[in-house]
This record gives sequence, structure tokens and C-alpha cells, in this order.
Amino acid sequence: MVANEVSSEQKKLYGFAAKLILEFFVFLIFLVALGYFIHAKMETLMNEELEKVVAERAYDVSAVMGAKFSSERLRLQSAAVAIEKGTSPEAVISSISGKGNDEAGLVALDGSVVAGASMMRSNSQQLGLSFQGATVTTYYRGFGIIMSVPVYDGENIKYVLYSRYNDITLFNLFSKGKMEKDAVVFICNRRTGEIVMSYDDSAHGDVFYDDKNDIPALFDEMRAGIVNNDATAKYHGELADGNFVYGADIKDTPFMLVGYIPWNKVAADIMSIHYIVLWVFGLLLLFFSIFTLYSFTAALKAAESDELREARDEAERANKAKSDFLANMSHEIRTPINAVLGMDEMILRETAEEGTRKYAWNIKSAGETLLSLINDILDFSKIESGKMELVESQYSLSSVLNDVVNMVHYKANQKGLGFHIEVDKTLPDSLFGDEVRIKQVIVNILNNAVKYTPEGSVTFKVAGEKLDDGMLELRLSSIDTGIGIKEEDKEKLFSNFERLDLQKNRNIEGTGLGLSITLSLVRMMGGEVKVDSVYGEGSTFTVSIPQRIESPAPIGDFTRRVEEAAHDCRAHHDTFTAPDAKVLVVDDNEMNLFVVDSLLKRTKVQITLCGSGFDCLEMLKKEKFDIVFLDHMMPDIDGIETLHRALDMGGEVARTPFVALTANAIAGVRDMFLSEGFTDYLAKPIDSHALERMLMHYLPSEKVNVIPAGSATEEEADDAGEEKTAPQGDTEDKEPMDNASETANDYGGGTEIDVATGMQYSGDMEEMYHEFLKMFCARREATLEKIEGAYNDGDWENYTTFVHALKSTALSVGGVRLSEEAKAIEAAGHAILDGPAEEKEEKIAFIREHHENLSAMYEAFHEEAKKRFPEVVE
Amino acid sequence: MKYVDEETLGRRRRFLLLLMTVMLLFCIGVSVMHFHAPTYKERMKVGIIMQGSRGDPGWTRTHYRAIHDAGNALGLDILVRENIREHTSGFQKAIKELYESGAKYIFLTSDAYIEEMSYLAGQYPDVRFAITGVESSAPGLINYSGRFYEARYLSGVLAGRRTKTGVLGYVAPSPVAEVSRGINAFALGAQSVRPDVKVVVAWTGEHETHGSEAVKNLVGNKADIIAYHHRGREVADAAEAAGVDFIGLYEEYPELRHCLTTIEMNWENAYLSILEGTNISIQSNGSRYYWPGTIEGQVFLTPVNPRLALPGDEESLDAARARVLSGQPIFAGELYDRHGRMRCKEGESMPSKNIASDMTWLLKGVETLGRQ
Repeated sequence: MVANEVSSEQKKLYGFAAKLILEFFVFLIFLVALGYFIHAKMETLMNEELEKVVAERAYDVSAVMGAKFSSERLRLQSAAVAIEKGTSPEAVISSISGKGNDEAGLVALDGSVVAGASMMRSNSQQLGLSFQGATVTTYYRGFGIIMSVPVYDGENIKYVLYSRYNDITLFNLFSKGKMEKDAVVFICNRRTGEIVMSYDDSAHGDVFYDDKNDIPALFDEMRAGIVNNDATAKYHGELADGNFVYGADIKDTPFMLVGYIPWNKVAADIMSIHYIVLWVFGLLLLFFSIFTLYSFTAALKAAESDELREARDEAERANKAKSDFLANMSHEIRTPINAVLGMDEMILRETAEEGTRKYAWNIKSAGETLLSLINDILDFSKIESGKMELVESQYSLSSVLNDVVNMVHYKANQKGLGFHIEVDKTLPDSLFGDEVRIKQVIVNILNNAVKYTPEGSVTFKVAGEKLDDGMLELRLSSIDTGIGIKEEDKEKLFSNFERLDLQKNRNIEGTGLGLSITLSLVRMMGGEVKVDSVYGEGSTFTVSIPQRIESPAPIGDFTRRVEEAAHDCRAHHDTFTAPDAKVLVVDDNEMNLFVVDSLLKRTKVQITLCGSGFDCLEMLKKEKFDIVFLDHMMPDIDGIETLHRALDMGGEVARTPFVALTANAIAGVRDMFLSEGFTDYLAKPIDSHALERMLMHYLPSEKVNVIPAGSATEEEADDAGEEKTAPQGDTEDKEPMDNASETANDYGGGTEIDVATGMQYSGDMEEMYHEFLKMFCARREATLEKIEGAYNDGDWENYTTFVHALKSTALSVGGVRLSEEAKAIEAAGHAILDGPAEEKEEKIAFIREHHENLSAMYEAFHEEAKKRFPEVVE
Repeated sequence: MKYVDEETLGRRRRFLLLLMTVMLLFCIGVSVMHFHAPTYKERMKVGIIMQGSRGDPGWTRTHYRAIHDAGNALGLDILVRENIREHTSGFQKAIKELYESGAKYIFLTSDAYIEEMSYLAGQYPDVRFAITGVESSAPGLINYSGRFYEARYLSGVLAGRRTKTGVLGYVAPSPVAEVSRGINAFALGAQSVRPDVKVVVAWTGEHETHGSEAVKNLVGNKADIIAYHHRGREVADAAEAAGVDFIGLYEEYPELRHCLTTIEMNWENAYLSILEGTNISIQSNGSRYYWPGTIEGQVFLTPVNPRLALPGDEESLDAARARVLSGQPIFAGELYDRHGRMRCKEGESMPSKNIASDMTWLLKGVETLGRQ
């Protein structure tokens, strides 16, 4: 289960992370694609700009070449002019031959060489053009360039002067043609692309050479490019790792320039811009990564905090459930304790026998301890749920101290401890505050001191300091000579359920809530708790609580005041009889009815008992009652509903005082009941004095015969005496169980029923034991049927629960063997449910073996019960 | 406590991411949009201004077709202005319109516009003007034409060997250089095969009119083969009507049975060359001219009409053409005008410049008829 949760948590986390990573990558891919796009765009734009630059440079180069040509042409033309003017052609030709060119010659219209070198035959067309007055430059493959100019004789042309440039001289002529060291450049015919010269021998056969057409690669594009432009350039990424191809017209020649320059040679300087852009984009990417990482962790943290929050909610829910459970449990437990204490009270009143009274006293003591524990838990749950309220009123400090001292003095004495009390005589007696809670606080710290002091004494010191505005800081200290508290444990002292030094204190009873409640209460009252302790030597708890002074009259000598109070108390302890009074008690729990009935027996009132709200309403119609005690929680219609219906009846009924009985004695409940229409309310377990007070208060005075305390009946005197002697009683009597176990088993000739045990659990009341026994036997079939059903269904959980119930009930009626058998089976059942899987089969086998036994033993018990208690069990 | 569940958080985060993406896209999109370079590669516009309309046979139609095809070949937009007469406000208006439409080149298909252009060209420095004819030019103008006289020489060879009467008729508007060099070349060609041949020129005064009268006149003067220098087809139609063989000009009219051959020029190539800026010579005054001939393949004679062809015609033509192609100038050697003045010495040749603009004289052996 836990492992599953963990793995599902992990799965969730992984899924979450995977989603985030996916998102991250999708975005990254998107960004990278975008970056690529921008990069490409940048490059295109840059290349477009570079193309212009390259074109301009190509134009410059071509202009230089054109100028070179032009000067050659001029040289030739001036030579022609020289000949026209009569200079000897031979002289002219020799003067221009070998000066940048190879050779020169003069030719007549009929093709005959007049002077200089002879021309090749195939150039007659060129000569013809020159004979028509044109200056012609033509390239002849393998021969070179021939430039020809006309030589005039008057208006007309007599000769043509030409000059030849072979490849070597051409190279000189175009020596400025290279743009860059790494550029490949061709000079070619503008129309045909025929290559006149190239700067690199390697150009033939490589990518820059169009072998098929014997022209430079991309010549057509360049040629088209120079239409209407002097020069052009175009970037070709596919051409040998990227080259700019450029072309430029060489003016007044039939040639053009076609060149190729690697991208990086041109872009080298601009590259840095490119890199800056890339760098910025990279930075952007980095920022993005950081941002994503940040949001990733943030999201993860958010998810984690969600989980924490969930965990916290879960814990809070669990805590709430625990508190509710505790509140409910304590409420539930108070009901049976009510019964126990009530009946015990009855025993104490009615039994004169010394032994029984002793036991009953012990029951009362244990019961009250239990009740105080339950009250602790209730208080705790109230504090936890914030429902604890302070009920402030005027009170007598001495009275509080008196109550407390009586209580603790007794306990200390019982333990053989000395108990001293020192009260500052100047303290004001009349204070305003929550008397009950102050009492609780004092009792807690004093009880604590008594509990943890094995020998020595406990000193209770009451002091105070008057503050301004009529407040008193009441200082209550408990000084003991007990075991003390280790320094490191002091922090844990006030934690819930914490019990210190468990090894050493395992014998000491308690819930571990006492100090925690104390601290909470003190804080609620605006005070504080201080602890001084030396481990092994003793502790001092000091509680400081601010209280308002109602009357400055000092408390005086406390001992004397205690005595006075004791006297008053006795004086007020009036009893009464009211034989004419009619009382209706409504409770769905017969035990409670029984208790109230018993408690009121002494007052001789006429009691009518009722098991439900409906019965109650019926009774109210029939008869007039002086007071109605109405239980709050009942099936079908609850106390409040019953009251409302009763009040609706009007008349006498509406004027009858209704007192709510409730075990749910939390704060505010009184107001709730009063607002619902109840006259008063009484907390369960019902305190006999409270019950009597209630009656005295609400019964018509003419029906009540008050018996003053001084003239108490014999019974009561005994009762009181018993109470007084009890504190001096020996400590062996503390545990009734121990007493019971010491008693010899009383099987009375039978094998199944240990009557003594049964009696012990029935409060040593034979009548009750018989009642229990009767019930136990009567429920036999139903119980067995349930167990059998669960057994047949293989429903081990219910089976175990039922067997567990049987175990307890059997023991309570003295069915010790049956109980033990049930216990063994229950243990097996638990092993099946919670134990290791490998033992399961074994345990099931065990149950199968013993199951039959169980019903057999139940039957045997029944038989024996029939035999031994024929008047009880049928 | 406010508890935000996983789903809401996820939704918020996804929304945030989406928003971020959209914003980033927007930013980047906007910035990238501003990156683009100015596009300068729009189609170039070229204007042409013609005296006639594009459908007029002969000169005008051939020019229109040629520039249209050249424009297609180079991917240019051709803007045409038709029926624009010189010395009118329409001409200036046409130029202005073309300029405002973004024309980078304006072709003028008549040398009649030259006077106005000599001062108009300067007003549009961004525009290159090209005008037909090589006789006169102005700075900034491109003069373009073909060396038709070479083809006329060849047609003269054909006519000279075919004439029976020894008289060749020639219809021409007026003795300007452009016309005279054609007549002279024709005469030279004819004389090269029949030295006693007589070329009779009938002037029409105009390019477009009086062709049929001239033809009648020439026929009346025993001319049995007629050549002409007219823009349209009037002369051709008249010769056909008269049943006289003639030398066609500019374009072939296949329905005319008496057309021996036609002198044509590849104007499309001419326009391509001009637009590509190649083969343009610079004259000393800074104007540029484009004047290709037989060697460049721009001017040629169509094959002799097979129905009329005589044995030896093509062979004679081929021989003459070979001479031209070898670079032998037409106007070279001893040349006398009809007044007996020597225009060229033996062993010399006449430069193109002179041929283009100075040759207003007529060769010895050419006779003229006045208008009747």
C-alpha cells in the first residue's frame, strides 16, 4: 500500500518532469529552427550586400583593365597618326613592338604586309573592319589578341596598323585583374564566353570551368548580369564551399571579366558581425535555457509544495479525526463510567458490610482516576479543536486551594509523602477568573509532583504580586523532591502525549497530556509556566496567572480558612426527602436509568423511568411531573426533539422543569440546552450531590423536606466516616484486579464458569452478575450465528471482531476457558489479517481446528450455567 | 487555505508558455520582417516610339516585332507609343510619359526625331535614348542601324547579272547619306558583274508616297529590275503590278511573285545587343552607335526567289558574300562620283564614318530622275 503510493507519487513526478522536458525540447527545437532561419536570412542579406561590394570591386578592376586597353589602343592610334604624318612605318613599328605587346605590323588593303610582322590569315575580317575605320580588338585562340587601327590617307584608309599580344604579354596587360589572392579570374569574350586568359592554370577542369562549353562556369548568368550594369556579382553557396561569382564588362573591348572569390575572403571582415549576431542568439538561447530551468525547478517546487500541502492537509485531517475520535471515545466511555460510579455510589450508601464498602471505595477511586483521564482527553480535544472556553466568575481563592489541597493531600499521604502548603497571607481572597481551570491547573502540577516523587515531600506555595489596574499575578508553585527532569527533556515536557524517562517511569499512570493541558490552559488565561529542575533532586513548577482582584480582603491564615471552609461545606451538605415529588427520568440506556433510580432512592421521590422519547411523551400526557430528566442522545427522537414536542403540548407540561442529561459536557453545551428550552442540564456521569441539588432547586419547596447536615442519617454518617478513613487505607487496596486475582478461583464444581471472576466484573453484585449471565446465555445463539456466518464467508476481519467481543463478554461472566479459547482464536485472526503472508495458511488451519471448539465451549458454558443457576438461566 | 490543484497549475503554466511563445514569435517575426533588403530586381521597362502603328508593314512592323521579341527574351516590359509625329507636342509628351512610367531605355524608330532629341536627351539623364540611323547623332544618344548597303551591294550583284536592258531602277525618297550609300552600293554590286550597267534613281521626296509613280517612271526608262528605299510596301506592290522584278526591303511578302530577294535585318538581335550593351562603338563626339552588317549576321539577303532564280545567281551571290565576309570593304579602291570626282584612291578604303554621314554623292553610273 505504502509502496504503491510511493511509486505512484514517483510516477506522477516523472510524468511531470517528462512533460516539462518535452515542452523544453519542443521549444528548444522551435528556437533552434528559428535561429537557423534567422541565420539563413542574415546570410542571404549579408551576401546580397557583399554581392554589391564584390560587384563594385569587379567594376573597379574591369575599369583598370579597360584603361589599360584604352592606353594600348591610344598608343596604337598615335602610332597610326605618326604613320599618316609620314613617319617611316618601319620606324613606327619598331618603336611600338615589344613594348607590352609582342609584335606589330602594317598591312595594306590587299593584305600585303607593308612593314613589321605578318598577320595570320584568319584575321581578314578584323582587318576589313579596321579598313572601314574601326579600332578592333579580337582574340584568336593560340595566337593572342590582335588590336588593329586604321591608318588614314586623307579621308580614306590606306593601311591597318595592328599589334599583337600573346598570352604572356596579355598577362601583363591584365596584371591588375586579380581582386584577391585567392580569386580565380577569367578574361573571356563577352559574347561567346571563349576564354581569353585565366590567371590560374588549375582553372581548367575544376569547378570554375565549364568544360562542356569551354567557358567559365556560370558565364551566362554573369553575362546576363552585366546587361545594363557595369558589373555584377552573385553568391553561389554550392560552388566549392561558397563563392562569389562576379562579372564585369571591360569597356571598349569585346571582353569581360568573370571571377570567383571564396566567401570567407570577402566576408572575413563582415564575419564578425555575423558572429555577433550568432553570439547574441546563442545568449538568447542560454537565457531561455536558464529561464526554462528556473521555471522547471519552480514548477517542481510548486508541485512539491502541493504535495507537502496535501501531506499537511492529510495530517490535519488525521489529527482532526484523532481528536474527534478522542472526543467521541471519551464521551462513550463516560457513559459506562457513569454507570459504574453510580452503582458504586449506591453500594457505598446501601452496604454496611465493611469488605464490600472497601471494594466499593476502591472502585470509586479507580473510577475517578479513569474519569479524570477521560476528562484530560476531553480537555485536550477541546483545546485541540479550539473549543475550550474560559468561564470566568468571582471565586474564592481559599475555596479553590481548599479543594485542591484536600485532593492532593490525600494522594500524597497515600504515597507516604509529606505535603506542605505555604500561602501568602496577604493575598486577596476574592478573585475573578475561571475557578475550574485554575483548580485543574493546580491539581495537574501537584498531581504531577506527587506522581514523580518517590519519597520526600511536595510543597505547594501560593504567592502573588499585585500589578497595576487591580490585577494580581497569582504565583502557584509546586516544589518536589522527586526524580527531576533532564535538561534535554525540558523541551519535550509540555508536548502532547510525551512522557519522559519512560524506562524509569513506566509504572506511573497517565496519558502524558497533563502538562500539555496545563500549559494550554495557563496560556489561555494569559499566564506562563516555568520549570526549574535538577535531575535526581527535584523540580519546581511555577505557574503565574494574572487574575483580577474582586476584593482586596486578604486571604489570611489559610489553615484556619481551610478549616472554616470544611465546616461550611459540611454545613451546606443538606439532604432531603420528597415523598410527594414526581420525577420522570428518560434515557435509552437502562443502566443510566438504574443509576438515577438508585441515587434518588434515598430521597424517597416517586420515580418514573422511561426508555425513549415517545414513551416520555406518553407519560407526560398521562401524568403531571415535578421535574423531568431527559437524556440528550437517544435513538428515534433525541432529547431536544422530545422537549420541543413536550413544550408544544402546553399546559402543565410546558411549565415542568426539564433537565438535560448529557455525557457530552463540552463548553457551550449549557447555553445550547438552555436555548433549546431546557431548564438546566446535568453532566454524566451523574454526581449524586449535583442531582440532589438539582432536585432541591427545581422541586416545589413545599414538597421538599430538608434534613440539615448536622442531623444526617446514620447511613450518611457512616458514609462520611468511610470517606474519611479511606485516605488512610493501605496502599494494597489500590488495584481491584489484584485483589480479584488473589482470590481463589470459584468454579463451584463446574469447569466452565468461574463465578468469582464473573462477580468481579459485575461489581461483586450477585444480582448484576445474574443479569449478565442471563444475557450472555440468551445471546448465545445470535453470537454464534454471527461468528459462524463470518467463518463460513471467510471474512476473517469480522470473525476476529466477533471473537474478540466474545472473549471480553465471556470473561465478564466468568467464562475463563471460553475467553481464553476465544483469545487464542482472536490472536490467530489478527495474524491472518496483519501478519506475514506465509503464516496465513497456518493460522487459518488453526482457526478451523479451534472454531468448532469455540461453539462447543459456549454450549458447555450454557449447560453449566443452566445447571448451576437454574433460576437465572433457562 | 488556498489550494491550487495540479491541473490548474499545469493549465496556467501551459498558458504562460503559449503566451511566451507567441510573444517571442511576434518579436522575432517583426524584427525579421525589417531585415529584408530593397528589391531592385523588378522588370526593366523599355519604351519605343514609332511614327507609324505597330501593324504597318515594312519598317515599323519589323521594329515592333523585334523589340517585342527581344523584350520577351530579356524579360523586359515594352511600352509602345505609336503614331507619334516628329515636331509635335505628342512626341515630347510620349517621352515624358515613358519616363514617368519608369522606362530606362527609349527607342526611337525614326531618324526624323533626331533634331528634337539633340536637346531632349539632356533632360532625361536617367534614360538612354536610342535612335535609328547613323547619319547624325547627338551626345548621349545611341545610334543604331544596320549596314544595309552591304546587302544592297549583294542585291546589286544579283540585279546586274540578271538585267536584260542594263538599266536598274531605284526608288528612293531623297539623296541623303543613308539613301545614297544604298544606291552607290547597289550600283557597285551591279557594276562588279556588268560594268556598263545603269542605275536610274527615281526620287519620291517622301518615304511613304509616290512609289507607284516612281515605278512607272522607271519602267518607262527601261528599268527591268527595281530596288527601293521606302519604309512601306508601296513600291513592291507597284512593281508587282507592273510585272517587274524587284528587290524587297525589310520584310518578305510571299504573295508578291516578282520579288527576287529581300534585304532584311535581324532587328531582334539588334535590340538585344543594344540592351545588353555589346558591340556598341563610341564615336569621337561621345555618342555611341551600333551598326552591324553582314559579318555580324545582322543584315542579309534572303535566298533568291526560286521561281525566278536563274542558274548561277546563288553562286555569284555566294562569291560576293564571301568577299564581304572576309572583310573586304565595299567602298574601297578607285571610286568616282557621277561628276567624275575621285572619292577613293586605289588601295584605300572609306571609313564607316564617311559612309555613314558624308556619302551624299552618287556613284558614277547612277542617273537620277526628277519627280514627274
